[in-house]
Amino acid sequence: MKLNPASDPRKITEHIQLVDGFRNFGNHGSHYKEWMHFCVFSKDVNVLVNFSVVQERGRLKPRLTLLIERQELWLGDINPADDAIIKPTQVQFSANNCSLSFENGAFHIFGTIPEKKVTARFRLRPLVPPVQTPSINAGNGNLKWLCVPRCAAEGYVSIDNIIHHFDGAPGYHDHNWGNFEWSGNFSWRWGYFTFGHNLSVIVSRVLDEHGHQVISDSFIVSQDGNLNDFRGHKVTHLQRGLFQKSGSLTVPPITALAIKPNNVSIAREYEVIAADQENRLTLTYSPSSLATIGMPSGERGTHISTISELGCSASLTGTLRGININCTGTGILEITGRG
Amino acid sequence: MVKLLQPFLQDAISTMRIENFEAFRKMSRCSAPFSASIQNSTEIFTMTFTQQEVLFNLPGATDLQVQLREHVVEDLMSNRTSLLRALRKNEIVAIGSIDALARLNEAFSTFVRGAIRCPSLPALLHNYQNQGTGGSRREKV
Repeated sequence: MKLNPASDPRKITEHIQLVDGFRNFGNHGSHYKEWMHFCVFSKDVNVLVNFSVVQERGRLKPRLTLLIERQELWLGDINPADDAIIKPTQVQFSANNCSLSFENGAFHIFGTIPEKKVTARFRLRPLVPPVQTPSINAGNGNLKWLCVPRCAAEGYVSIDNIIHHFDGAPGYHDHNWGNFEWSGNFSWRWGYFTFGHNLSVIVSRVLDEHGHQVISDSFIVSQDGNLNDFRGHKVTHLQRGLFQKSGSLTVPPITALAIKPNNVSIAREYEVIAADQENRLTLTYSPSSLATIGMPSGERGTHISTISELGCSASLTGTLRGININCTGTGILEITGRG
Repeated sequence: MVKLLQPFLQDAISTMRIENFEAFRKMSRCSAPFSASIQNSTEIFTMTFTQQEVLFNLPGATDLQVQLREHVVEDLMSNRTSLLRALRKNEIVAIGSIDALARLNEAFSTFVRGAIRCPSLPALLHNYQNQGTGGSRREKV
């Protein structure tokens, strides 16, 4: 399916303002979770910033996740943002240690983890309109999400007082919300990959908790403002070998004591083929760095879920809209698991 | 001033019993009956796990003797080392049967999984980690 792009910045802005605000907290129900996720890929560093709210013990708990990948190592942490003011229906999250807003056609993002000496401050301008996807059956609930497949970032990250600037670096945004438990019968493998300044791919595969049964497949390509979206049987996944990495980051650090080693099976190389009558693309990606996020699942008990964030090198080959593609790039792969 | 582990563990386990009883009961049941002595540079104490509770400093022999090198608890909490690495480097020395070691590992893992859900734990950790430092660094979970 080819989606109709609206690359006019004014239309993109109106579209974002219409669909991308925080949902209405007055009516969130049990096990509610919502987060806004941003990635930037530059020559020296890759950046992941996540503004989240999770309902815990009857109240919504805001958090900042700031992870930075540099030289195949991740830095950063998750910190509470208890003083956050979040405006329903708007992209607005404001706390002492972080802030997010959408103004003048761009997301304005700030986050700092002083204990780890990392700070990110950048502007992320959407280059394509948001893509709204069908809700995902997340075991005992539903997860809804939309994404902006291609953005341009200007700003910087600071690591140990060393500044890394980016100017027009490729970026990505998604927004997720829903009522579900991490311990539900689902898992996902999701990745965002960027190839130069014109081409990016989002791959999403949702499975049952054991990874045996596929619930949904999606492969979205953004090229020069055009979007192609492959779903279901048009997407094929293969994987080879086993990824092993010592010295990976776990956040919050104390959860490392409770997560079993190698709790998630990560392949050395993944291959995803997306094909329809007109197009055929092969995406190959290989993880090179790992950060694990440990999350208590549920307010009581002992269950822990994990999200593995993996820095990857990637290649994309094939034919898209009659154009031959053969390029290399970088990306972030995300795999959920049981701790 | 040296950080005291026993009061921290007593407070954390009592807190977990109140704030996450499900995890407390699981920790007790998966390890009981079991006892261990813990020794670091300033403390020697015992922990006895029964089906209902965790008791400190009961007299009698223990199933496992654990010796902790200085800073290893802080290194574990901040993920500067892992249990396996600490055992390999003799920063933790455990004397006892494999079964006893497995029970302590299970109890410890269940304790961490339960405790990180407790709203009061960040303050307890903060107090433990800042014993003797006079600092104000605050760790969170």
